[in-house]
Amino acid sequence: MAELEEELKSQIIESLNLEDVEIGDIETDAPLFGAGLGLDSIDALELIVMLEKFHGIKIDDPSQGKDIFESIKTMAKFIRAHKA
Amino acid sequence: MNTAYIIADNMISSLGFNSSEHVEKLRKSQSGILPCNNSSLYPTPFQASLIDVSRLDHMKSDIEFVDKFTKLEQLHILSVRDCLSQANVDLSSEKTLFVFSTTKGNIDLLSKNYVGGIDAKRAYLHEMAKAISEYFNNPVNPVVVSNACISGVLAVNMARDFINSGIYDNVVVTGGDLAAEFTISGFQSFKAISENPCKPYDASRDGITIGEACSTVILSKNANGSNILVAGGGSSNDANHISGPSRTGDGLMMACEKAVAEGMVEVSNIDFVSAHGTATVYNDEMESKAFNWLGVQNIPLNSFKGYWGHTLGAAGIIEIVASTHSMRNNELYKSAGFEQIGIPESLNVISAYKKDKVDIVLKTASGFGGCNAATVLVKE
Amino acid sequence: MSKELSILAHSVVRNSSISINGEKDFTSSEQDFKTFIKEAYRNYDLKYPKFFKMDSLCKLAVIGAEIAIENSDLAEISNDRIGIVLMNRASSLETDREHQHSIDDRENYFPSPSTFVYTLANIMAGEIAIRHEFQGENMCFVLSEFDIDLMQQYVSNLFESGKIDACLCGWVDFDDSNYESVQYIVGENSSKNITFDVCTTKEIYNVK
Repeated sequence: MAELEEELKSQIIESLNLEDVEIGDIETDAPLFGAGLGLDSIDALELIVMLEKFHGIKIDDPSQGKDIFESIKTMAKFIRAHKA
Repeated sequence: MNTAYIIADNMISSLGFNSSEHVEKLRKSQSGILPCNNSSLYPTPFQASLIDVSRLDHMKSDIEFVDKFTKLEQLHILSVRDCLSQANVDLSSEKTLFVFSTTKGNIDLLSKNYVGGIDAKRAYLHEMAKAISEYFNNPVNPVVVSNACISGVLAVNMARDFINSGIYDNVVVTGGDLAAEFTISGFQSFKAISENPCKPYDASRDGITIGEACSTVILSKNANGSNILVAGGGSSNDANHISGPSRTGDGLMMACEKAVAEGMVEVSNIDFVSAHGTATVYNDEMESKAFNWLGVQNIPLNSFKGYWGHTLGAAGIIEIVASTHSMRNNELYKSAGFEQIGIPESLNVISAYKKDKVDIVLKTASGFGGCNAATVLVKE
Repeated sequence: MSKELSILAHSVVRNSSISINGEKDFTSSEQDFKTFIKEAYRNYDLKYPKFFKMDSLCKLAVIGAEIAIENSDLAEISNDRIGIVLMNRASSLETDREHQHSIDDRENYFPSPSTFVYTLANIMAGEIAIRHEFQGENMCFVLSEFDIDLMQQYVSNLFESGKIDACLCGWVDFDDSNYESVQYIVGENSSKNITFDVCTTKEIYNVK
């Protein structure tokens, strides 16, 4: 079950160039934006690309991203729901 | 000292190949933005402002060795030639400088689908500039200003500066950018392109329209019958974010203040503000804050981007040219695409074409990298 | 009446080494730029995670600027009076090629916003402005070589017009793993600094 979460953490570190961040540093439940990893508006757009590239899910409306990308947990939930 | 006159101008865009054609359409509030279904530019249909290909083929047919020039270079040659027909300027003089304004130049050369046969080295912006200035036998090393969407305004300000300090007598400032697959795909990845023709300052605005254009002004220390001066300029950086503008408008406000101060005009005497107005939610919002802070919120204001889209490196030039026609004809052009105001602080957006005195204009631009620039045009 | 201007500090980044005011300050055995610049980042302890999102041109520009700025005394100068005027030859072509590559294959079509945002020559100035909060005049030129005369004229005019009190100037170029950054801070005259003129700039540029 946790495999997707771990995969997402690894993909985020690579896609967003998060140097000095290890998979173990990212908590599944923690908010991705705001304090935490210090992600910004470009990162939010990059996550949309990541979702399409690695998981085949297309998001046309960036405002949907706010809920989907809240945490690794919400991302994994969205992906599983989409693939179901 | 202010002696930098605008003595000739040209505009090439979806609206035509010279300034008269553009003005005729501006008076009728007629936009050149149309649906584009060209999969070599983007996989799905989108709105764009594109130069008429068949007309370009016809217009360029008398350029000597035309096949040795790229599409963008052909546009620059046509644009500069049109200016030469309006004012007698010796382009072969060492006192004449070419300044180019572009963000991506011959970016189509990078594509694996490029078939034009021009050497890949012309993707280097200065190589492109030299190809054009040498076509006109200009002996001076041309200058390329490449500073995102403020390039055009910066280039005109620089030209003014170099004329006033006596280094050059004439400066040909020519700006252009293609609506290339490169650019469209990039802005699409930013979800910045609207599915509809752009609507600057409108409550339902949701993004830009890309436009391709080429535009030229010739600045001269000699009036040559013109009474339009580039009076002052300024630029700044928001120092906030590389793609999102300042939330307060401080950078743009400071650029405007510097232009107004150097232009020796009072804010209250400005007759028209030609703003940047890209129709993204954040840019237009930022401008509303900056302009209220500056004190021009009641002055008639428009964005020209509803007519020919966001033309990037050409934007500052083509919009300055449109502003000079506003001044010469004492008329105000509607802010195309605008219906209902939707910005946090109020602006006097021009909602219909009308005749009015236009003696002093503030032109602004803002761009990726957090940059802003402004110029003040004055009728002598 | 012309203002008398000085170069307050300068940095050169070339061939895996960094000089400050003409003296070698950091050298790496790494020929690969990405490895070298990461080592430089750690050596100068920038503590700036955003650095790793930047493309190579911006990383080069930010490191070169950092050294020049840290060695200049700009404390008395208001941030909105500090300009940035940079030049290069290749614009952002290194990253342009990367973006182009991401759209070349329609079967594998994934244009990336974090790549695209770096496909403009002036973003390097933007990154420097953000890090150091410089809000003054901006200009980015693209030329075939470092036009020292143009830089001298343009920057002198900015000072003469009263728009700036200091300026970060530089030639910062990155193209196909060939790179160089020569950056210097220009300010109003101080007897302990070198005069800002074409000769001194040429000397700085030619430092090995």
